[in-house]
Amino acid sequence: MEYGQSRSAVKLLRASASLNYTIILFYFVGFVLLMLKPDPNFKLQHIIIIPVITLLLHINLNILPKRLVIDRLLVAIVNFLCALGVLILYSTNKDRGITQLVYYMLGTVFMIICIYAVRNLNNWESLALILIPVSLVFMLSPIIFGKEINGAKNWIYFSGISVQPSEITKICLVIIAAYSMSRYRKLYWMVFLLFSMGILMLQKDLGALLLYFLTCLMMYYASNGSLRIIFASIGIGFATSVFGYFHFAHVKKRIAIWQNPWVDYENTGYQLVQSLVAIASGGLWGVGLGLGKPSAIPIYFTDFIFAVICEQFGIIFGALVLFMYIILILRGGFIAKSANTRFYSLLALGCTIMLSLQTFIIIGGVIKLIPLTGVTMPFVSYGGSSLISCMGLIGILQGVSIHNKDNMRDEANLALQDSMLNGGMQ
Amino acid sequence: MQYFFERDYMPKELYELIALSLRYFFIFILALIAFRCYFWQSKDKRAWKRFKKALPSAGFVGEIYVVYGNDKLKANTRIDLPQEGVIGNSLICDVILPSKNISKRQAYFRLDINEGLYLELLDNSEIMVDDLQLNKKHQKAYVLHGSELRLAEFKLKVFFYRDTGIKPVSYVAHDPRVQLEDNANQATIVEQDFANRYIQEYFSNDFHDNSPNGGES
Repeated sequence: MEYGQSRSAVKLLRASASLNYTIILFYFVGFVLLMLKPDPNFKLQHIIIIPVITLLLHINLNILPKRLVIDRLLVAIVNFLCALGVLILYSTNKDRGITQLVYYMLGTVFMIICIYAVRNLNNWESLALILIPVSLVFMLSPIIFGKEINGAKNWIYFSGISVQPSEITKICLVIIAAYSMSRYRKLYWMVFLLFSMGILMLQKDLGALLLYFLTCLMMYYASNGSLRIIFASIGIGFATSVFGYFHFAHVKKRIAIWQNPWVDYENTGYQLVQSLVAIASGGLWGVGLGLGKPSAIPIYFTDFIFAVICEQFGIIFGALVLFMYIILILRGGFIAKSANTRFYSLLALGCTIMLSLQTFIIIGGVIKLIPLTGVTMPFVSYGGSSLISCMGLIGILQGVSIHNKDNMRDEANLALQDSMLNGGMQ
Repeated sequence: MQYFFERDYMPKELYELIALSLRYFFIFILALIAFRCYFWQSKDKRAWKRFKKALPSAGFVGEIYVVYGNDKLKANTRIDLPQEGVIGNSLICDVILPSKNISKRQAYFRLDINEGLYLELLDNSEIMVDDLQLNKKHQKAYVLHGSELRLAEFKLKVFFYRDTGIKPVSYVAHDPRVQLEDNANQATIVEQDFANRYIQEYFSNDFHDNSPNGGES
């Protein structure tokens, strides 16, 4: 215990440390278990993942919150989910796991940049005005340079690196929407949303389109409370969905798969059927880490990673992972509620809504609750664009939480001064 | 070492047995982590609520005093002034002025430390800030300590708590009663309140340069 620390602060630090070391223990045991698995493709460099991930978790969970005074709970949840992604990917393909670990490190760096940006940036209007054209041009680039994959043309490739612009511009959308809604300048966000939705429709990236539309709708409701506009937007959204159903063949196909994947289980419904079979074969307790047949699901490492988690660790574990997401959303909502200005509140809310919708859309799709759309599971799915953008959203949330803490400290100091002026506490 | 890992140093059955038994360990640890996170979140939420309740200002930066009101919002009423919000007649506004002559969302305001309360019109309705007339959308003004707002039939006075760093308008420093002469009854109440609750404390602590004696003559 350091001098000057209150008892509650020490208690909090102890609770935080025990949570952090439990998380580190979880992954240490997980990776050691995977090392024990006999593998003919084993390379010596694969073993390096154990010290690297342990060190990374230690830095992120114990050192980073001390240096940046960030929200410890949020850091713990996010790092747990990121490391879960690395563990699952490593259990299925060691090289992919190591690549994901590199993305995780890059994501951490990007999160720190976002924290500093939110903490120190004052001129948000200029930033929003710059971001609108820059992100629209960036989003347009796949139409010119991109290739069509799984019915959507939303990736750009340069010198061996592939980037999904719609993932990165998610952060821009939240900033633009939060700024313009907080200052009652509808034009900014409406123009940006309409253009970006048009571009996403041209790219046939309907998952991102749904995400953008619903995020703006919910943020607008939170900022304005106008039910008329909300109902009108839902009407427009419904009309657009009907239009999409009749004009995009792959949308029609996905709806048909969702209704009954077993009709054509060897072709179109194969992915979903394999996912459901994997979840069922895992049962309540799972088949064990590193066991099972995750490669039977075609895109198991991105869209269907939740099915792999359920297969290896079981449905109870899957439900607990969902619970972790719920706590993350609750925490985001709490940060948004505690914010002292409208802008920071909407900024935090936008990030939370974006992450929660993405989670709901993909997990709902994997368990056949809603039609499957091509979005990734935040923090867990394989992919640099997705992980880095999600870490960026968390960085923004952390930045707002630092502002909240500063504000609370100022208010407490004022209250203390007030009580001293009035002759002591009543 | 590579040879060690490539070979079947561990029988497959033994690995399966270890992996199967460790399933329970993973679920137990995750359950522990998840519930600990949940209780942490609940605890923080409760602590935040307690903190907010304990604060005397509850996040407000000042008060709006209704000098002239109407049947629904009577004179002498005090309205808490948040750091940021909207003035209008809609129920979702932060400062609600219930009148048909006020638009749903008439003006947006936010506190700019050391500058004043930034006020921006959200439509073309008219607002008078002291002597300045605002009647076009996105027109802006700064409201100072003691500034007077006129919106439709309402006449309001804005007072900030200490330490917002906002300077008082000059005539307030000179004589707080000057704008309140036309209604003797109201003027007396406002004068007493103003003098007791704000001026003495305010000027004795923060605004030495603009104190009543040293201000505009």
